[in-house]
Amino acid sequence: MVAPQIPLIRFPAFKSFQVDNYQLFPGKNGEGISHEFEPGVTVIAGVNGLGKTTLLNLMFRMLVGPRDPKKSGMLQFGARAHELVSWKNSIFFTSRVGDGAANATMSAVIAFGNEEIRIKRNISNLEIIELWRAGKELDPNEKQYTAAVLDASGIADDYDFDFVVRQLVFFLEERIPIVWSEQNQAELFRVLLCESKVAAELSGLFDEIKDIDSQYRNLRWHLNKRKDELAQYHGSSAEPATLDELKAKIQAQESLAAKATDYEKEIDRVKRKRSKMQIDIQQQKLELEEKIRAHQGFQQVYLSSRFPELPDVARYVFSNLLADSGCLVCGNRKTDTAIRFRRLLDQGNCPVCESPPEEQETRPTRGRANAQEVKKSAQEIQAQKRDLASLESELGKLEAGLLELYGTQSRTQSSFFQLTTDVNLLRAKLTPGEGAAEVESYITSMEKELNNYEAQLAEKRRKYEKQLKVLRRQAEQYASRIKRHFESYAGSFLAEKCTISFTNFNSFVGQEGPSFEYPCFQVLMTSAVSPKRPTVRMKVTDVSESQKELIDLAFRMALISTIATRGQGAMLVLETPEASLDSIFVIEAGKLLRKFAESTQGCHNRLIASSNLTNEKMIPALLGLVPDGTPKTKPAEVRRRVINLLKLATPNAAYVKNKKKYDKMLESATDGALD
Amino acid sequence: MILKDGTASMGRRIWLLLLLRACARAGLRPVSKLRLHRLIFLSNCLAPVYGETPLDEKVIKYKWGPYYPEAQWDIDRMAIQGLVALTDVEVSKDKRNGWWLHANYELLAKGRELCEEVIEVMLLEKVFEFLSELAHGYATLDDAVLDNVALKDATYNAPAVAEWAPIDFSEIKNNYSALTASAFGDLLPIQVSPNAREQVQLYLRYLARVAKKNFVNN
Repeated sequence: MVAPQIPLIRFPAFKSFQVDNYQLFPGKNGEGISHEFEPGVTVIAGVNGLGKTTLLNLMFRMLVGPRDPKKSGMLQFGARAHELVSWKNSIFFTSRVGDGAANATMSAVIAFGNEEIRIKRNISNLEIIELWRAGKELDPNEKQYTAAVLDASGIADDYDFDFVVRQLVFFLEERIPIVWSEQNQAELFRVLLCESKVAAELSGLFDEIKDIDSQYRNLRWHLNKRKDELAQYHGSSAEPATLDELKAKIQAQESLAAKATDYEKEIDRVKRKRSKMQIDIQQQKLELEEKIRAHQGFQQVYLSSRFPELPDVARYVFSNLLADSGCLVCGNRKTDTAIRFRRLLDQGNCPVCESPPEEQETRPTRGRANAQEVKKSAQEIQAQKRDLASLESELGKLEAGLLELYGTQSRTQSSFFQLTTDVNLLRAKLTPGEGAAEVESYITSMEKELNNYEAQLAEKRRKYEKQLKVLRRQAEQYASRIKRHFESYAGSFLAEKCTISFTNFNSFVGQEGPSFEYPCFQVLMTSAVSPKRPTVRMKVTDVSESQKELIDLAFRMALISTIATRGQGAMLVLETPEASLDSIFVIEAGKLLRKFAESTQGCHNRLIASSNLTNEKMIPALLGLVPDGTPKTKPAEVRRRVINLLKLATPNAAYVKNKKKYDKMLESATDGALD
Repeated sequence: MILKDGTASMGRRIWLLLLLRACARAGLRPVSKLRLHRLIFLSNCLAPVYGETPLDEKVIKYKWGPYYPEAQWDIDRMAIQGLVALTDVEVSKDKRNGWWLHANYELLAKGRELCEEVIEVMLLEKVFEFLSELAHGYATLDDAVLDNVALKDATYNAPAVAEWAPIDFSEIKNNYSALTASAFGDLLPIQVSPNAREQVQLYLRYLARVAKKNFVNN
């Protein structure tokens, strides 16, 4: 088998960024903002209302221009086409200033690995006014820019480039999740892991299938309407009673068909729930087994010293009883002899005949496993058994419900088939009326068209599945590396053990037809109630707010680190990372971000984060000014790594009122390194 | 539910007995607890190659390798019932994996008789043939890598699956072991297309080679 080609994606990274004549950022002496970004962390420091978000949005729009994905519901992977349309909120930058940003411009040097693109845009309408690539001037327009960017980044098309910038590179206030959205993961894998031709084919086929599926369903609806119409024509020459009966039966038939679909969906949902529960039970059983084994371990050691001549089988039986694992002799798994056995052994009595030590032939040796430890593990076993029992009871109920659903579904189907027969018989009784032939011919042509759509769909789906196989294979190839990077990042800031596991999920393209299998990762993490066994966290609500964001951040970094391993470097832009973090996590998050930015594999990553002065720890943590075992950043370097909006932005009322306080806060956050 | 559980347990016990019988005939006796669970796993994921339905189509990735608590209970019960010999019970503990209770299992005369009976009465010749071929192929592998073979299995060792994560191969497209075993046919000319037995043998040898490579590299 030929190994799939490994794509070479180069992420965009700002080397410099400049804003001129924009009233929100007059800068010192009206020079605007001009910043050279060094590899590592850069902080945009400010307070509310000074323009942190606006500056980040300028950077974002510099890269993607005045366009947005067709459907703005970015979380609805299945609901949008891979297409960009004009930016709807085009007054975003102009409405923030008094002069409508008439002469405002922004310029940047954007690196893609070793390649550079220099670009200047009007801020008011984002029009490109200068464009250079590798020292050569290009026609300043969006088309040339897109072509240059796609060529330099190795990304398939403009939609995909936009997706990478929007979803992966920029982590703005909306915090669009990646690891918590299987669909977003799959989309990113397509863009980042597949050769550009395959990536483009997958998105193209996806859109085509959705489109044809929609037309197909539309046509089918019209066809059914026409069929009803035909019944009317036929009915014109029939007995009214027959016609009424036919109408009633057709209605009942439609309602049953809808019910059957509902039952099918419900059965599918319950089956998925059952499968998850079965896995939970399997995991819990394994965990229980582990606890029992530890308990048996303690007991076996004791039993061996206490009754050295006891045969293996007997010892095995006793240790099972002691560990509450059940009676191997009679097969009862819910015995309650453990307490009695433990008491007897504690007193040195024989566990079988209860004889006291002085009456036994073999005098017992003293000493046994640590009583506290044994007691604790016995309690843990009891607790786990209770959990397991309640889970098993839940599963039992679920299975009973499923059985009932199957019964109802089967009865519905029988009724449906009976009605279909009745309808056909009644229809056969009708004679065609005037105009029926025309409708019939129309129906025939529509049916032909419908068959044509079906054939097209089958062909497109076949091709899509073929390319999906490539995507799955590529994801498999990279999965271990992504997991390793993730564990390294997550391990450095989460107290709980957190990992990701490679798996897949099924999703439909369009509303009907077969589901397709996409690669994805699921998060597993330990918790207070399950400190040893990491449990699967499927949804974002399965973790705390802080954990949610940090885990997603670690996943982004893992993806970027996996792709950008050939010394190309990458950029990550974060809006106020402290916003949803517990203060205890702030220093850890700072460490994590620095770890990414200071990645030593020749990657020279750049991390740009805006931060609010009101959280006193975030800026020092990002700049390496808190004691974390690494050398403190020198003042000159701190100056190069801060964009100070207190000095560069137009002061707002809050800043004017609290100038001294805010200046002092910044001074304290930067160790007095700024001018 | 009781009947259902009972039925599942009986089915599993019969499968275990036949597996032990197959192991004995292939010269694998006694069978350690660790090896037994790994063989159960291999039998589960390779059963579709023979058109058989596996006992279990889900397994949890676990530090001790594939492990089935229910099967463990069943084998211990059969030991007490005199169908299986239970010997060499030993307790050990290591830092990474914690406690382990070692034991060896081997079919006793009563168990052998029961095997003959169920094969005939319950028409399990084909299942037994599969388990025999599996045990036979397994027994011919290099001793040094014998216990690591299951850990290198294509389903169990699928990339980036975390410990404690479920591995579900109930759909054939996710049973990489059976798919790989069948794929040997694609590599050979049509005239020598391997049958089910040969597919299993080739697959086991392939796993042994992977395990050996890791063994040497480590």
